Amino acid sequence: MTVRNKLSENALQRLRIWLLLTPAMTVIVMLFVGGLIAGLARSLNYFPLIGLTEPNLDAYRAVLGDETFLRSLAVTSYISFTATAISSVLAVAAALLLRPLVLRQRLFYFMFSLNLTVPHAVGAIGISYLLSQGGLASRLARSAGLTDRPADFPALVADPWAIGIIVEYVWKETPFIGIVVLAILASVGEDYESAARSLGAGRWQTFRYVTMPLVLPGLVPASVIVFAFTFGAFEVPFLLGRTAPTTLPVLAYRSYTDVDLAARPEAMAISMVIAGTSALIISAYLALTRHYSRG
Amino acid sequence: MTTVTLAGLVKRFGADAPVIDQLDITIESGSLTALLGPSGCGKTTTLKLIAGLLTPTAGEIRFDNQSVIALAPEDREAVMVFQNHLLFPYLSVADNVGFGLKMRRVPKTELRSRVADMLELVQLPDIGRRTPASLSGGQQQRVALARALVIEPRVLLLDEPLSNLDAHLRDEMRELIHSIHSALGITTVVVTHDQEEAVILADRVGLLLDGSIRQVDSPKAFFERPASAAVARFFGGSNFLPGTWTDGLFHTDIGSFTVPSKTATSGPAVLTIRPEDVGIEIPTAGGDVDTPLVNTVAGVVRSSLYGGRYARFEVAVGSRSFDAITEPRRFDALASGRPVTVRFPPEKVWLLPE
Repeated sequence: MTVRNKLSENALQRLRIWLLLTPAMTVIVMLFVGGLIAGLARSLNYFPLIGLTEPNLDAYRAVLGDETFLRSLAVTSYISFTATAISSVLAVAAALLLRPLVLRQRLFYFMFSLNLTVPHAVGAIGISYLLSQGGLASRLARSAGLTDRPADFPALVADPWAIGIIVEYVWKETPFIGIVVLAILASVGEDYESAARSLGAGRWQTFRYVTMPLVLPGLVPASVIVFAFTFGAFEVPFLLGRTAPTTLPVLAYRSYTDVDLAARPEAMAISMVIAGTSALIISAYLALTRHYSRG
Repeated sequence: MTTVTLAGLVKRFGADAPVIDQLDITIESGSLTALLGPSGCGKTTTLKLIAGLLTPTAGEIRFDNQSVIALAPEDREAVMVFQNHLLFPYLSVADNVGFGLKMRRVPKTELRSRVADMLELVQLPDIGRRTPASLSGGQQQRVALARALVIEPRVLLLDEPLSNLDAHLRDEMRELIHSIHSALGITTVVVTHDQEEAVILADRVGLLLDGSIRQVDSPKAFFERPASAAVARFFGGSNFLPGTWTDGLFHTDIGSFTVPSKTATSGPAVLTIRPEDVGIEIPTAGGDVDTPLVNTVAGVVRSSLYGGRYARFEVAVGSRSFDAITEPRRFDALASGRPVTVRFPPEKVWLLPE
């Protein structure tokens, strides 16, 4: 076969793949990219249907100069960072503890991953029943004589430290990250760690210099996904968070459903900030992995 | 230099039968000892027990008569080089070699110069910056060896060091292990399933069968003076003839044989002779097989096999059959059905306990 024939065959093959992907891609592009573009246009006050044809940055100016937005950004970052950090640490610890069991019994894998199937909204309601001042933990504390009234129980839902939200995220995301870490640990086995011990590394050194570098390629992307998700998720802070300051997605929702139609561009601007932050985090991650894979 | 003693060593995983059962061996200081045995006989487990990566169910491990059972692997100074090298994929070659020194917090300048010396020793001086994935199997093996040697261990444990290598690399690696061993004199234990590898590498061999040591000897002794039929069989022995030793002769159902007196213990025993030591002669004209030579019996070639560098025959003698290996050029003369004289040279036969 000549080089030319081979090239045209490759081009044909590529065309075939693109044609096969077209129906799915159309839906994704329409919904995702289309939505993003529409959102961006409206955040720039561009909405020809109601006569807004001059794009401007008024909504961004209003949002970025608004103290509510800035506090909201701080709360959202705090929740995402804390939940991701705690989930990552617990996931690595759980994966290390479960590794010997998982290698023998698939059942542990199943149990570990069980709550991945529970929706966040259901989890949030569960946490509310469990941790709110009228919840199960509060009642147990009262019957154990630790508190006199429900109000004596510490506020763990709609509280200033967003403990309820963080607990829900940690409960839900620890197994998600853990499954990824566990899969790596199970496939790599314990031989690298044995080699390190034999070369003189103590338990902590083995964890620091062998186990962590081996699991990082899985741990980092899983954590980035969790961070990006918790940064943009609406239902859990809506159900378990305080009214003010609230997280960015809840703030965006409130602005969008505000009776004042003028708040809509601001809602879109907030959404764009959320999307932009997620994109920024993902690009930082991609840059890091590219650097990492080059060694 | 360190003498390693394993005494009454037992290793059991859960409720299964023990992998190692009452293993006793003393590995002399500065020796290169091979632990030889078939797959699954507990060789690698034994290395891991010495390295401290596994805890024995019972028994004792001593370095220079001091028990090391309570010592963690990182404190034993017995470094294991694994069969699949296990170079850390996220570190450069130099960082891999320097790993043990870094764990010991050796200053950076000293670390760099010791790593360079070690890479020089394994004849790979210029690859420090490369990643393990860019190395060939043979180079990875050398780097793994350098990584173990750089920390100057008391005991070096090599798990199947030649088995993952091509034929020509095996020779190079064998020479390298030999030269490093004679240069550094570290007590070295090599585990292998390949008797040839054990024989060419080691100055002592311990044969491990079913979790316990059957014989510890020089490589030559396994061929010439095996301790049991199982040992002889592992080293390629296939001729076993039961009988009784009395009055200076070994009496069997196919005749009586002279055996060297030092091998003989009176009473029932089993005579063995290696296939390459069995003599096959074509009887002189007239079919007279009663030659004056001692230890000869009449037989018939039952089957033959041409093996390129040798020819192998199965010869029937009465109700028994024996394997014989000769030079390949004799293949055509010794066709199936040919009557032959079989000779067991007295100096080559060996009596085994029944």
